[in-house]
Amino acid sequence: MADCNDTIEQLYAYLDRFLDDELRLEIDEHLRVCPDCQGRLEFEHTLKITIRERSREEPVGEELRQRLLDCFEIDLPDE
Amino acid sequence: MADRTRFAEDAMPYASQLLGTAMRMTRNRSDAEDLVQETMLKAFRAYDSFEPGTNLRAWLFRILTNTYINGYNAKKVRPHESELGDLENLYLYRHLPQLANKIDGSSAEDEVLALFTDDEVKAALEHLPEQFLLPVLLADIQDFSYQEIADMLDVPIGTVMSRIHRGRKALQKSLVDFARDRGLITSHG
Repeated sequence: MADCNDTIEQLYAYLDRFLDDELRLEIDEHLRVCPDCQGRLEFEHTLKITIRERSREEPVGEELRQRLLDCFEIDLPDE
Repeated sequence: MADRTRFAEDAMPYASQLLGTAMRMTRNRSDAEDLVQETMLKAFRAYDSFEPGTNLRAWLFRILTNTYINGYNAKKVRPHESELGDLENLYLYRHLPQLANKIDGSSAEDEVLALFTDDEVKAALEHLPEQFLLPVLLADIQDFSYQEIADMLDVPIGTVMSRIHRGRKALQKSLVDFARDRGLITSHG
């Protein structure tokens, strides 16, 4: 049976779905009964999503867009 | 010619994501634009070798990553991972109660995370030691699998995982440091 320490130790591997089935199921079991660990997991997940959403893209702008299109030596209609 | 246009139509929608990642890699807009332009040029020249129907996005990011590694990463100095020491798990989570106090005691995670500005989030990423930067960007920001990242970086999958995990902790430390700089957190730990 996994406890809080195990779960915290394996938190990222669990989140990334990189645990083998046996350990994953043990942690699933622990999460079912441990709201503290559920909270920790949820936070790490929310943090990842937040960081992603706020840093994933940068607006290209018309000038760069044109330079990129020039790389393809074709014309595309404006978006 | 139809293929070329089609390829451009398929590739251009990824430009903003490529630019976002390039910005976090190079830390300035000018170099990032050059990096993306170089990437698109290489992609265009190599498009004969691209198999239609396969993962174009992964292919483009692989080119971006290789181009960065081979030409751009010498330009800036980053902190070395050894400066960080051993960071504990849940680094930011442990500071939540103090941060929550700054917004009327609400512990809603979204509100706490909203305390950090976009610039701080980007800076925290950009401040990552070189070893962690690409794994974290590719995994957490661009959603590639460990295996895809291992292939792109040509390192073992276990190494990818380790660097992602340590990179996340480093990222959290940067965010806590920002909060400390702003006086949102006062204790040390």
